[in-house]
Amino acid sequence: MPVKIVTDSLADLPQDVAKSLGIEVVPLFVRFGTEEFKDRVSLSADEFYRRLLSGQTPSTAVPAVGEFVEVYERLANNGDSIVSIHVSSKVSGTFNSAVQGAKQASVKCPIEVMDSLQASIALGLIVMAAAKSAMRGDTHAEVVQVAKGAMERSQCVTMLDTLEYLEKGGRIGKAQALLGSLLSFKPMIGLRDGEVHAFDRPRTRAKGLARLRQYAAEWSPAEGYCLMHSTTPDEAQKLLDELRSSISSQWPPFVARYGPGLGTYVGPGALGIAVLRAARPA
Amino acid sequence: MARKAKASLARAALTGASLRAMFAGAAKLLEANVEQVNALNVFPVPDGDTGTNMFLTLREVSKAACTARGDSASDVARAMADSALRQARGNSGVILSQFFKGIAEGLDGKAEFDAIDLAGALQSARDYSYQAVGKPVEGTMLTVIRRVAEVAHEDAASCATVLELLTRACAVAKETVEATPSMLPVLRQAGVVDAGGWGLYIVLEGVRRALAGESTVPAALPVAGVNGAVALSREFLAAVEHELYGYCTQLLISGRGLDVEGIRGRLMGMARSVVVVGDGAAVKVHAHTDDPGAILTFGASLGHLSQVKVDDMDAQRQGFSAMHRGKQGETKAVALVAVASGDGLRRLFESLGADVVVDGGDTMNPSVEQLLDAIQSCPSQNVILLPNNKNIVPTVVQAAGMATKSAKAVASTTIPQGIAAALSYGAEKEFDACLSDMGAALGTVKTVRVTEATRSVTLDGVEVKKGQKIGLVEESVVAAGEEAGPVLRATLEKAGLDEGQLVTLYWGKGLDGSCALSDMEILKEAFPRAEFELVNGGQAHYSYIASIE
Repeated sequence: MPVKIVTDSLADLPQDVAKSLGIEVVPLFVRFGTEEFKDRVSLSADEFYRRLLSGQTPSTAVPAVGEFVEVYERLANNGDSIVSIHVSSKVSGTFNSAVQGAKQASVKCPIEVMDSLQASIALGLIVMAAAKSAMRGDTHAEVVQVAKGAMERSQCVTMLDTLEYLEKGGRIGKAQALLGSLLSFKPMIGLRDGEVHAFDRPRTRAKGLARLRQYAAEWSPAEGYCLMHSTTPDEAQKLLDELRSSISSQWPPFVARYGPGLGTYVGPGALGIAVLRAARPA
Repeated sequence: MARKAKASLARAALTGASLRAMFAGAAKLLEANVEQVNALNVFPVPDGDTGTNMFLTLREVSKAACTARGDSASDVARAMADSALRQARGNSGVILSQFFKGIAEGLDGKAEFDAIDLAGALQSARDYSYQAVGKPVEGTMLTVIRRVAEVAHEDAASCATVLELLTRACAVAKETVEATPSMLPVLRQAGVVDAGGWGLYIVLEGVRRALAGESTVPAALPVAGVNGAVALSREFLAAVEHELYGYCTQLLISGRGLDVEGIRGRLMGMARSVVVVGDGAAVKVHAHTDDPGAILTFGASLGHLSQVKVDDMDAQRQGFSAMHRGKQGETKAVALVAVASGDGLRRLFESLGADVVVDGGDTMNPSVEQLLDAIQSCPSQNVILLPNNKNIVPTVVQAAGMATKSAKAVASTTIPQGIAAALSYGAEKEFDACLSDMGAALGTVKTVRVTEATRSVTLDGVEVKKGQKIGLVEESVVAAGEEAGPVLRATLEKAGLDEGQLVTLYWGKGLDGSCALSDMEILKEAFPRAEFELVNGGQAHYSYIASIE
C-alpha cells in the first residue's frame, strides 16, 4: 500500500479492524501510580477496568516523540507517504508529539500529521475512511482529502455513569457546566471543535438510551457507525441491534470498547455512539 | 601566557563525567519533589502529572548518561538527548526532550565545555523547546528556559566557571517561576506557579547542587511564591468547584499527634467538599458547610487554630457561576430565568445553569417588572423563562412579550416540570433548539405534591378536614391523612410507579432532613422497583414536591 495510515490508541479501534485495514496504532501510556503500561498493548481493557473498579487511579501520558520517529521511519521503508491522524490536540498532547516525530524522522516521503479534533471511535471512523481510501490506491493528496472530509462528518456522544473520571483526569473542558449540580443525572458529553462539551443531562439511564437513539436517528444516513461501551458489552450490542433498522449505513456497524486510555476519562459504565455521516452527493 | 593559562584554568572546563554527575543529582532532587510539582499542575490540563512525567523522563536521561559510550561532553550529551527523545513522557517531558536536544547540539564535538559553551547550548535548548510546542504560551516552562538562556547569554563572558553561570541561571529561573502567575491567568486563578517551570527550576537547582558538591539529602523544596499549603490547591480547586453553597470554611489545626484520617472522617459527616491534608503536627482543613461554627469548635478541641477563613459562598456565587461558565462578561447563546421560592429550589435551578432565579410561587406572583429586570440582567440576548407554576404562566408570558430582548416562556406549570426543562437547557444551544428541547422535557415528568388543606371540603371525591395533609397527582387530590410521609406514599401509589422509574423528593415545609430521610427509606421498601433521590427544596406550602420520571 503506497499511503500508510497511522493513528494513536485513543482512536479505540478494535485490533482486527486496524489489522485488516493496515492501520498502525501508536499507543499512549497508561499509568497506575508509577506502574506504566502501553495502552491496549501491555494492558488489556479487562485488566484496566478491573483495576479502575478496585479504586486505583489511572492517568495517561502521550507517546514519546521517539515512538513516532520509529514508526514513521519503519513505514517509510515500504510506503510512498504517511498520513498520521490523531486525537484532538485540545485534549491530548499526542498530536504535538507526532508533529515533532514527523519533523525529526529521517524519511524522504511526505508525512501529513492531522489533528482530527475528535477522540475515540469518532476518530477511529475518520482513520478507517482514510485507510479505505489508501487501500483503494488513492494518492497521498486524495487520502488527506478523504480524511479532512470525514472529520467534518464524524460525530459522537457518550453517556457517562459519572463525571468523576473526566474531572479527575482534568479533561472536563467546556462540560464544566455539568459540575456542581444538586441533582444526579447521567452526563452526556461529546467533542465539539475538539473540546469536551456537555450535550445532555438525562436523569436516568433509560432516558439517556432514548437520547442516544435520537442522536443516531439525527445522524443517519451513515457511512459507518459504531456503538461504544466501557463495561457493558450486552447493552451496547442490544442498542446496536435496535438501531440497525433505523440507521442506514454503508459499512457494517460494529461494537467497540473504550480502551484503557479513553477509559481513564470516561470510566466504567460509559455508553456511546459514533457516526460517520454519509457524504452528501456532490 | 601566564594570564591565559590562568583564565582557562579558572574557566574550569567540564567533561562528560561532570554531566553524568550533574543530571544524576537533578534526577534525585526532582524525585524528591515529584508530588509538589504534580500538585501545581493546572495548565494546560489539571491532571496533576507534570512532576511524574518530568521525573520519569529525567530518570531515563540520567541512566543513558551513565551508559553513554564515550566520556566526552559531546558523547554524553548526545546519549542524554537520544534517550530523552525516546523516553519523553507527557507535554513537559516532550519539552524537556527538546531542551536536551538543544544541549546536545550546543556541545556537539566538544570533549569539554565551559560557561560560554553552556550558554550557547542553552540558546539551542531554548530554540528547540519553543519549536516543540504548537502555540507557545508564556508563563510556562518555556518562559523559564527562555529567561535562563537570555541571562546565560548576557552573563557567560563574566562567569569564570560553569558553576557560577548555573548559580545565576538558577536565580533567574526561580524569579521567573515566581512571576508565572502574572503571565498566565489560569495560574493566578488557581493560586499556583507553573508546574513545568517549577520542575525545570528543580532540575537546574539539582544540577547546580551536584556541581557545587552540595551532596545534601534531597528534600522537597518550598515552592516559590506559594506557601506550603496552597501548593495542594489542585485538590482544593476541585473541591471548590463542586459545591458552591453555604460557607467555605478553612483552618489550620496545629497540635501533637493529630489523626488526619480521623479528622477527615469526622468532618465528612459534618460538611461537604471536605479536604483534609497535613501530618500529626499541622492539619489544613477545607470544608463547605452551613454551620462553620461546628467545624471551628471541633477543630479547637484538637489543637490550636490559625489561618481561619470563612467565606460566604452564596455571596460569591455569581462570580463563581460566571467563572464556571467561562470568563466574566462572556455572553451565552441562551440564558435562563426561573421562578421559584425556597433556598433549596433556588440553588437547584442555579446549579442547573439558571442565570437568575426570581422569587415566586403559590400566593407569591412575581411582578412583570421583576421579570423584566431579570431578563435584562441576563448575559444573553436570548432568554428562556420557566414560570414553574400555573398561576404564574400568564405573568411570565406577558413579561417575555414586553422585553426588548428575545425572550420566550417554556410554560412549566410545576417545579418538577421546570426542573426537567432546566436539565435540557444548554447555554450553548441554539435558541430554537433549546426551546424545543425544553418544551419536550415538560411532558417527561409526572408531578406529585403533598400540602395542607386550608379548609374542610371534599375535593375530587376525597374527603379532607382542615389542617390535614392532602396528596395531589398533577392537579387532582388523591389522598388525605395526618402525616406527610404516609400521604406521600398513598399518593405515589395512586400515581403508579413503573419498574426503574426515578422519584425525586423535594422536602420542604414542616419537615427536616432526618424526617425526610426516614420517609424515603419507607418508600424505598414500599416501591422496591423504583429509584429515589432526596433533595432539600426548602419550599413553602408543600411538605413534599415529587417528580416521577
